[in-house]
Amino acid sequence: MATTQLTAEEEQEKLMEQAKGVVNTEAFHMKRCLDNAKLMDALKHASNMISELRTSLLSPKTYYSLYMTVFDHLRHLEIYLYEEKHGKKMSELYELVQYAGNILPRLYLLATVGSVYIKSNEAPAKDVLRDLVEMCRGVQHPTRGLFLRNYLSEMTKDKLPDSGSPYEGKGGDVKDGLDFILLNFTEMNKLWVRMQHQGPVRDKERRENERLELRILVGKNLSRMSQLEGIDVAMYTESVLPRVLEQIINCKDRIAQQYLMEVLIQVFPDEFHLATLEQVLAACGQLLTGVDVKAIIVSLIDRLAQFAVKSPDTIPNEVDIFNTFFLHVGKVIDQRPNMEVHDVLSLEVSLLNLSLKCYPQKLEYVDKVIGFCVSYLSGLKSKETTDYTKPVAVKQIVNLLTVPIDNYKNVLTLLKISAYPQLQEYLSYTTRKKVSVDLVKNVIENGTIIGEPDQAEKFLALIQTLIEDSPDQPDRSDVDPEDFQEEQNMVASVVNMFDNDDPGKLYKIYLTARKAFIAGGQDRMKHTLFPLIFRALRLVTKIKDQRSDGTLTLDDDDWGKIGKKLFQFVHDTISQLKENKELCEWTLRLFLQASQSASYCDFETIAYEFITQAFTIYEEDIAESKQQFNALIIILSTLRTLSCFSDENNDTLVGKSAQYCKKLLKKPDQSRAASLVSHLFWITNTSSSSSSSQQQHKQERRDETRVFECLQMSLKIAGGIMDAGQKTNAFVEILNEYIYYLDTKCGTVPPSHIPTLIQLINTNLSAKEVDPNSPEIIAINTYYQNTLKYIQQKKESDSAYAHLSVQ
Amino acid sequence: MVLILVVGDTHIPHRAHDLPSRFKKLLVPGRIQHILSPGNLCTKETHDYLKSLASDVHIVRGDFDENTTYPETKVVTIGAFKIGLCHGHQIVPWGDHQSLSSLQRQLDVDILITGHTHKFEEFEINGKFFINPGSATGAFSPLSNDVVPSFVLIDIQNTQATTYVYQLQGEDVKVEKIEFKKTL
Repeated sequence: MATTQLTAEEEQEKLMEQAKGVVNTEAFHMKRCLDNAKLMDALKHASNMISELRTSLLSPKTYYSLYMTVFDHLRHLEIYLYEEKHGKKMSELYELVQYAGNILPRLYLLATVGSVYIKSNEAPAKDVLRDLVEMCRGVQHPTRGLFLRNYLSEMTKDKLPDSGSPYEGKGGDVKDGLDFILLNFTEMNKLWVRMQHQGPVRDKERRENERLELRILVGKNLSRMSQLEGIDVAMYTESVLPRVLEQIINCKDRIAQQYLMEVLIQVFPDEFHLATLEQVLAACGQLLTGVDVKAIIVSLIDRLAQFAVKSPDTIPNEVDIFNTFFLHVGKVIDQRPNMEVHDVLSLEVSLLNLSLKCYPQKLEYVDKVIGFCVSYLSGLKSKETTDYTKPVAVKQIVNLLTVPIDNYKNVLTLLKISAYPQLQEYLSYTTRKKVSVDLVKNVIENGTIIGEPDQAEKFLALIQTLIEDSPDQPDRSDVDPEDFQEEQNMVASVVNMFDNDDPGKLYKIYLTARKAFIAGGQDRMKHTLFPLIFRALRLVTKIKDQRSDGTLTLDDDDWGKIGKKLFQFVHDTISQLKENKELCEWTLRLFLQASQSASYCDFETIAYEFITQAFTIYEEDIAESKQQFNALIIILSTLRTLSCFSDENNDTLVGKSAQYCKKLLKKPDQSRAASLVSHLFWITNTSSSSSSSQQQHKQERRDETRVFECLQMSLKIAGGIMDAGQKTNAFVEILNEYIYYLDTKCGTVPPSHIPTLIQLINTNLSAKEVDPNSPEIIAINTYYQNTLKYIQQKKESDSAYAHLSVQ
Repeated sequence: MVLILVVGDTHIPHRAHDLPSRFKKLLVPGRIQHILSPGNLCTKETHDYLKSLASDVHIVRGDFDENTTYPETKVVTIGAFKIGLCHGHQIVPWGDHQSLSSLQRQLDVDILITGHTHKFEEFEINGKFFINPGSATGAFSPLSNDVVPSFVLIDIQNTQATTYVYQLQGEDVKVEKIEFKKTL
């Protein structure tokens, strides 16, 4: 007959099935005997049944399965012994079972009877317990011993003398209960540790796995201890903890130390840990080097941090848990020079979290943690190890930097932590940049106002990676231009967060910021200097307004000085951008904006200078015809709002702009520009433009002659346009200008001109070359028809229109 | 009911760091069908933000917009209304009602939306409607002293356009309603 090879698993299954078979059979007989009140025979069968647990062949997992089967059957026996009248005294039974042949069944039966003995109150609990726990020493085989003692523990768990239990008093007190559990625990740990060294070295891994499978059996003892009602903080500190820690440390076994410390922290309440922090942390320092002390301490810190958040009043003021942890963590790190960088750092991150949660006001704690990390990392750097560049370590450094950011939601608090900037040095360029971006985002999202010059300086230093080139940054060609632009725009946004009611301080901040931005080069300046310019303009107009409404007293001299200073700042800042010729359209616009503010503040010379600068850029740098036209329109429209100029200056500027109009390349542009110039000669406060109602023009201008000249010029140029569509369009635009002046009561246009122009337009529209169906002509015609409709409507209400005839 | 958001002159980051948080809370994606902006956003980030609020976004070029490909003017038809968009820095004089009226005739629109002055305004000329949503961020303008952050929401139903102007005064958002009926 061929024998099939079985796998280890299948072997175990087979053995277990065999053993269970015997167990169940014996159990059956045992129950039968009990039913027939044949106690001695029943005990014999029970003994046989338990003997199956004497095997050495089963793995812990399968042994456990067999054990549970036996356990269930023994319940039956226990119930019988307690409830049925079998005529024997407990002490007798207790004697009886000790005659069982082999030690293992003997002890299982003893434990079973012993538990009933205690329950019956025929003997003091403490005596029985002591007897049982001592006798179990007879089994020194690790697996069998562990399960036996587990059985003992299970049997007695509700029969321990404890405060308020029925077994207190004669049965003992909580100290006896504690002693029992402690002894059982100590013996079980010894057995468990012994497993490590049983057998050849090559099987070590298998043995360690088996040990891990059994760890709950040992750990349960600590749970039992924690369930004793009678243990208070004092007793825990004096009696429980020292003895448990002693066992953990002395057993010098890595697996046991790791597991038991974690269980210890888990099962006992936070108040106990708070009271014994020093001892526990000191014990951590004494654990073997292979133990992951970091995990243990971190779980302790996190627990206590949560506890402190939930019930802050329960922490006695004398107990400074942060400093206790900080000190001991420092010691632990010292004692373990081979500790991984990321482990050290994650310990510090836990400390940081603790400090932020429990002592949010104490910035010095955060500073302490970060300071420690900085010196630790600098120590590593000097030894030329680069472990801190590994991703796991980098993650922790980033945590150290970003957890405070997220927590405070206010970078100003961060700036007070002196060690903070130094930590960034240990990150790569990309990571530094990311942290800087987070800082900037934090300011923007929380609307944090940065008011003091030193705060601004410190903040800009913190985000230096964004502000200027770093020696370790990648090639510009590797940088995504969109990302770069987005980052710079974010930095620009922050400029809007610099604010202070004291203009002197604010000005100082702007100077600091500008210096930093200029160091960033043209690529960055074109984003970051814009907001600085507008903020400065805003500041100077604000001071003017405060002077006007009396909020600020400033004599003329001082106002003059301040205004000049600020406008000089604006001038110099825009000039920085002038070097970049690609920005010419923007710098032109910036000078025009500045001129508006200068005019508003009545600084005529400065406004004139700004316009001159704008003109210079127009003449020298703006060559393309479309750009020229757009720029000229802005120049003209800006000039119209400036009210600070003397007649002489105004004439010069307007004259110059008129010249520019003539030099435009395309005739339609020339014509349009000429009509727009006309508006420079008609400035009234009765015109219904909302913008100028805010700033009433100091001087109206009503030069009907010049208006007329401009319009005539425009008409003449339009007449010279060769393209029929463009020509007609220009005429319609001029027609609308006529209407504008009619509506604003300017008598510039002789009545006959409008019908003449209308005729001209009609003629042009019906010309042969004009295709009435082309989109261009349709649009022009629509404009024209709308204009005619408008005139028709106005005829009914406005006398100025009365004489107009419209076909 | 068709909702149009009219918002412009945000000048982010040149003159403001962000829209007021009170406004952002009101602007929920998915509720608005169209966005019309007279420009001066000024950067791609703000454009992207608008795109996240509604799928149909129209922007015209302001004098400080980074994107130089936006058109100078645009006409959009929504329901019964032809709506024109122009930033307004090209109109001389700035904000002048008559000049705007001329642009309205040229674009042949029922509603003309412009900006540039950073001042909310709504008025009617000869049965045509003019809206300036102001600056949504309250951005600095050399033209006005106290810029109140504002934007406009238009609700179009048949030939009726109901506009709601939202203004941030201090910490509170005040809303006003103005109605406009299109003359056929």
